[in-house]
Amino acid sequence: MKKMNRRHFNTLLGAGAASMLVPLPILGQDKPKVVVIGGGAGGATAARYLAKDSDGALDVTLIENSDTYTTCFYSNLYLGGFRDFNSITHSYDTLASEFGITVVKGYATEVDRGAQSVTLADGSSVPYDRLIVAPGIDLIYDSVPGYSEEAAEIAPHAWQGGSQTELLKTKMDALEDGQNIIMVAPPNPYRCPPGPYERASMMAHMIKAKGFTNSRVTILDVKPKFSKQGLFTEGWESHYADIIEWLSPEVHGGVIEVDANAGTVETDLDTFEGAVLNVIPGMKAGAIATQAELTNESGFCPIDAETMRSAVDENIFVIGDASIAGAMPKSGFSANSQAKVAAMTIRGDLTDSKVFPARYANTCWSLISTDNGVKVGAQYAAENGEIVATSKFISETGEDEALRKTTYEESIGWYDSITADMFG
Amino acid sequence: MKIRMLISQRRNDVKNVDFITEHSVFSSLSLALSVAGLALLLGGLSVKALANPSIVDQILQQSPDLDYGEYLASECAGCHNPEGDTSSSVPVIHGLNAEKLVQALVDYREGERENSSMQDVASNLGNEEIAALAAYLSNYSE
Repeated sequence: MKKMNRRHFNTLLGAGAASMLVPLPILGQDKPKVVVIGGGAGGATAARYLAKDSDGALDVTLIENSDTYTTCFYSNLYLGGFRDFNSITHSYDTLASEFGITVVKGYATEVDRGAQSVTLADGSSVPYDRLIVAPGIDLIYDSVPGYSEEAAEIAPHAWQGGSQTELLKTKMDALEDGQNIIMVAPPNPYRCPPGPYERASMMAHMIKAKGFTNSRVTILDVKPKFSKQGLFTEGWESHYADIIEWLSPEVHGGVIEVDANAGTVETDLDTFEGAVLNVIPGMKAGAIATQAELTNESGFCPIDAETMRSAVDENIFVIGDASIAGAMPKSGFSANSQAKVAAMTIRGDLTDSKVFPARYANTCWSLISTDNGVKVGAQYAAENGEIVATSKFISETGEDEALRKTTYEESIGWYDSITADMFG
Repeated sequence: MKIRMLISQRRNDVKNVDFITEHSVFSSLSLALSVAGLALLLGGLSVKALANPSIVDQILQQSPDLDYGEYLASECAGCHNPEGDTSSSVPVIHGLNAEKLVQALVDYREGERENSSMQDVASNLGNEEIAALAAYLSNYSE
């Protein structure tokens, strides 16, 4: 329990005096209000740290449209058969019951920055003193010719956890020997840089585990290089030499048209046919960030590197995939880290608690094959207005099996810890 | 032989290292001290082996800022669950004693203990940060 400082004491005195004049329900409304839009990796962490560390001095509301959250991180392990769906799905119950967070189920449609109020789809509104915008990503469907939200019901992107993930799993489970999987990999910047390549590994693992000998995974990339490329390439050569084929844009010459119904992807080189199409298009910040005019021409939100405060509104913070966080990749780990800096800054704004220089961290683990984990990570700080890496590390090619197994096991412990850190 | 065993054990998790520290004369601290003693006998050749124990002592003598420690420890919680159990592949560090925490972080920082993630984390920690972290984590209670 933190000591009550003079400012809290005066606030309470003020509330007591006011209660003599106005109806009682006003009492609880005197606390500063922090509203969080989005209950993903960043938003849930921010809400939890704000509530936990302010000891009731802040009124914290989390606005989230879903009853549960299925993490995008580790969803590839579900696709590969290493996790079940329930183990990557989390509820908001603990945030409400143990941390006193008001969890409002609804879709935020509008932020009125002048009035400091969020409007929900049902027409209700929630006022704020500080707002955290953590909507994650929206997909730019038409960045891939022929692709659309409707087409995603046949050719899933599965780049947002939940029903899309289950749809891709269902399609993968229905694959027969001799049928192929075609993945269209996304352009930078996108959520989870090693994700498409871990996913291809898990697809190949499934093909191998089923004993198929005539099925392939073809990755049609729009990038000439990708995250952890050396590690993945080594792993694919060792484990999936006849299964995974990665084609750079120089090789396939560009994606001309996706036809989800026909199961084809036409490129300059050839038309590829797959029983499973996994099309991952370009990305931008979630819609509410654009509506609130927090984005720039990149489609993402510029922030102050020291605080995660929006560059355009001092009462708003943008964290996670929707933000432009300098050298940090878009990941659940990054969002969790940025949330803690934003929460500390907001407590400093509203309760006079101490604020320390921002420190950020990220690690991305990837599973290539059974017990064969690799990782890449860095520590970050704000320097000259930018978030820059102060140190970094990456798994090496040629590592022994024992180390790879340790790295995979480490990721299991990490997953359990970070989801507890987000959802309680 | 015993040193080889120690090296392999030190590559295990913090819990295991704690066990060695408590139950073996070949603990990391006493090993460093005995190497230092030998070095003194040989004419004070080993400066590095002397360094860590004295850094650990220096850090333990600081007056740390618990609020700073709480903020720094929020990064730890992303991987080390404060309420986790000993079965986790990432060891529980909340509630460990300050000396063990300081020793571990100094060893990671100096590259004398394996784990690329922890070496990376510790390379960004000064003595003040390690003191604050150890004070907060060792005083942690659920």
